[in-house]
Amino acid sequence: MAQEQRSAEAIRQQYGVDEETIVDRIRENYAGYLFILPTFVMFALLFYIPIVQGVYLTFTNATLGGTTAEFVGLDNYIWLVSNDLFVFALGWSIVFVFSVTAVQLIVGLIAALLLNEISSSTKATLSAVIMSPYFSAPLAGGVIWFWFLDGNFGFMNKFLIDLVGFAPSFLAQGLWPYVSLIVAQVWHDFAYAAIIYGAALSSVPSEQYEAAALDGAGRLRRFRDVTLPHLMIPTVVILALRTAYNVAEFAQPFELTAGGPGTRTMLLSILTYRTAFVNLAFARAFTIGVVMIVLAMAAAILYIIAIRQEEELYV
Amino acid sequence: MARLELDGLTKVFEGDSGPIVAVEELDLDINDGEFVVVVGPSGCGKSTTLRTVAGLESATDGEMRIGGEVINNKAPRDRDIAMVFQSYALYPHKTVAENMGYGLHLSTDHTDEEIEKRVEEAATMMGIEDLLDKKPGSLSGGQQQRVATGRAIVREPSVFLFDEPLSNLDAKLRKHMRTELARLHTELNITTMYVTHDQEEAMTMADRIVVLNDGRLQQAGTPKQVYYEPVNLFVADFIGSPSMNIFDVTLRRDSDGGAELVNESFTYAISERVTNNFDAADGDEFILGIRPESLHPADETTPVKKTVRGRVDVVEVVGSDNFIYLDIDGKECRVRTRSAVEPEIDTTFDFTFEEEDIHLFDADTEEALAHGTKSPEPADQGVEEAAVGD
Amino acid sequence: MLNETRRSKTLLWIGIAILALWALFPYLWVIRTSVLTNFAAVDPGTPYIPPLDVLSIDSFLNIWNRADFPLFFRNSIIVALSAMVISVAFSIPGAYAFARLDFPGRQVLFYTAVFTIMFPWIVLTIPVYDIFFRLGLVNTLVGVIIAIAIFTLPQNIWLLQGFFRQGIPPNIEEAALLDGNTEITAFLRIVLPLSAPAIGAAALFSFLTGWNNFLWVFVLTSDEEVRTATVAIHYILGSDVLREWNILMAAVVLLVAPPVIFYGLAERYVGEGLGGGAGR
Repeated sequence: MAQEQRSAEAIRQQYGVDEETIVDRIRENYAGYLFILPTFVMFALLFYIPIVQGVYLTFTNATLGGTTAEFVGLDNYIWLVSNDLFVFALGWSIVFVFSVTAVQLIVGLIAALLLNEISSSTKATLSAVIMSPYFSAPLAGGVIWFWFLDGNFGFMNKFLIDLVGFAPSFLAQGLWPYVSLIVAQVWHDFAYAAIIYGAALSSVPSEQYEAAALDGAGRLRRFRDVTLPHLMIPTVVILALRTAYNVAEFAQPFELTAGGPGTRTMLLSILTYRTAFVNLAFARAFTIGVVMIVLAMAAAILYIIAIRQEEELYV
Repeated sequence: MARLELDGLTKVFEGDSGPIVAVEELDLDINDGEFVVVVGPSGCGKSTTLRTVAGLESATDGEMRIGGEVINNKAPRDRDIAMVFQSYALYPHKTVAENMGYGLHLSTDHTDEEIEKRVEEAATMMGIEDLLDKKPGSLSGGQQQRVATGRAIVREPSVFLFDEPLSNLDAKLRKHMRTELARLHTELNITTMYVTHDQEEAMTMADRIVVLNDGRLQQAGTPKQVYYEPVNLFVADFIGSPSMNIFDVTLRRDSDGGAELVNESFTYAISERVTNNFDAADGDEFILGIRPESLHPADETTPVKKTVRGRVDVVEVVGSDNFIYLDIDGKECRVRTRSAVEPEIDTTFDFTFEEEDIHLFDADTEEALAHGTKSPEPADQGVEEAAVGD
Repeated sequence: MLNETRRSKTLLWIGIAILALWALFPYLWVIRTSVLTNFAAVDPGTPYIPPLDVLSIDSFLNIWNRADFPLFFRNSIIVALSAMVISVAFSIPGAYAFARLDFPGRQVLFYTAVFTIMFPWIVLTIPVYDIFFRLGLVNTLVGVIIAIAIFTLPQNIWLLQGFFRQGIPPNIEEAALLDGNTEITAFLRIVLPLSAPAIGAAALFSFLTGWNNFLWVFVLTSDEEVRTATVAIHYILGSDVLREWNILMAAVVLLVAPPVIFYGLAERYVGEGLGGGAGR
């Protein structure tokens, strides 16, 4: 109506909204700022400041414990793109992240769909069993799979030798280390997708299934017309979060192969660690890290868009 | 002795796309002991006004006074007010008695016995003395509403604030609580500001109704005033159910002082008494408003120039009355009649209305120009008797 | 009709069985080793289901006098517990501000909080190591505790803000303000008591995340005195010092059991709240 025709400036001026100083604003919202202050300090201490410092590092030649760090411009970035190991690790990381995320999504969806069909009494127990890998320490996951695939004492080894007389070296031979890393990672975290999908499935109103059944829709059709629309946003959430987590994943692959044999299964996370804490080249390590941050950030933006669509309230 | 005065009260929110004026230059005096109901469509600023008075929002501009004392910069707890929320906002972990006594414990230095006594008195008043040891979670919606109201009255504040307190109840309970709150007010006689979107609630409970739209005061007056003498088209449309019928009309004066209101579908003759209320400067384009309950079936004796013809679209039987929805050349017209009148669907229906019942509004400003035989009185003078309805 | 239901029921249970097997099998192999005798653990001839005479729970008894395991597990508890206390204490007001207060800048801060959940922390260890090195916090339990407290902070904030949004009735603080509280006391007297169960859950998850953590302890420490169980197991596996596989696997069982059991019990209460990456 009439007041919408007034410009924002006119309103601000008329009621002196612009004259509010920062002090006024803080006084008016003191409770909010007071409550957020501890969090802000924590984040600043171990998040904002280190990131700024880290980005600054990438333009120097800083090393661990080194006292002098010279400004070197874009040298680290040039080193990065011309470094074969980095280029390989980037490629393998992308393959690793995408295949792990995709398989986790599928296995998680199957788990959620199956568990959703079970009556509630046994559901809790079976869920706990099927989800259990997710809750173990990632390092323990590495040890567990190391032991499972071990060339001397592992189950796979013993089983295959008993069955067909020979077994490949799962952590060293040919394509096997890649497969092993992906399978182990899927094992550890597929439950995440199952949990999110499970929550989404249980929130589908049963009237919708009943209505579809009355309309004569079969099982598959009900899944496509009723269930699937409710799974779209959870899928984006899972994709985004798992992509970011899988980019960041360190402990389990580090324990399982540590990038080896040699550097044949080198992931960006392990390369960052090695460059920083084995070769002590802090600046170069953070430069690799910047690439990881960009990958995670892309996923984060996808995630924020998704949750924003789902519920304006969360913003 | 607590008069609530709002003086040019303004609230501006910073929205995503620039500032939003929620309440603008609101002037309102609520007398000591008066029960004022603020109504308006959702988003009209009524709840914001209430929350600003409570101190839950800060005023951008203007002054608020309780008992002559400026409260703009006082914390909510220092304003000597009690508020009942739509969601009740009872403390789930406290018993009913603790909920009711909590404010007294915090803000007064009464002894525990005194507080207990006052809680019991208030509980008796609300008929919840059996629930005092229960937790809110185990109560029904109606009981929770009583506890929330009880929590407010136990404080004996200068001003009561109600924010749509009955919206979460079913229709029957809502009607019942309406009378109870009215009775409570007669007993306690505490200054009350009551916000609702339900105009029926406003009509039945208020000493005075305040109609807001778009953050601005439209009219403040007794229920009869806002019903019989709405100051503009918005108030006329908002108050009353079903809402007022609206027609665009042209005034055609004839030589002997009388005139006709002409619409593409009908012509309605009016007398000098009506036309005297406005002069030629007002032009000749008007909006005619006529309430559904003022329409009645025409008969043989009805002059042609007092008759309007429509086609029956829907007949709604509500028991005491019938609502007839007519189609007049594509325009809907609502008629409220005795239940005996039940025309067939798709038949024509002739109706008429008295000159005393019409409302005329300026076509451009939508301000009221004439109500029946009388010109609109300034709303604040508290005229008791407006144009006679029927 | 009946046939179809029966067939799909069978398929359902076959699917569930495969999933359960897939989830449990690697565990079972570890548990099997942990209850074997020293020799049977490395004997390729030991059957899949070992006979009774090579079964022994000695490994779980001997672990307490091997390679400082008591120290490592004690450190794990100290670190996880202290980090939990700090992290929960800091996350409560933050989560509350995000969920129920409005102030300029909240949205930006909320998005950074969301982003921290997804951040590749390995990258952050580099500047943090640098800062902690200067502050003398490297190789100390204090440094590890601070790092893990902040690491678990986003997860706690996420969990608690969800509760504050949905678990606390609307307008309750406003009623408390009118009853005579300030914003601060309204929070302390009304909201906090109502939040006890959610805070308990956040504390549990926080503890287990700290218990599971490998990265920060691994990067920030080198001395055995400040080593936690996760890092100790990594070092032992990588060295030739202790090749008593049954004991090492017993340590893994002890490391994995608490989180798996607790999360298993709490799983139905967790649901989506777990979104904050508890498994990392």
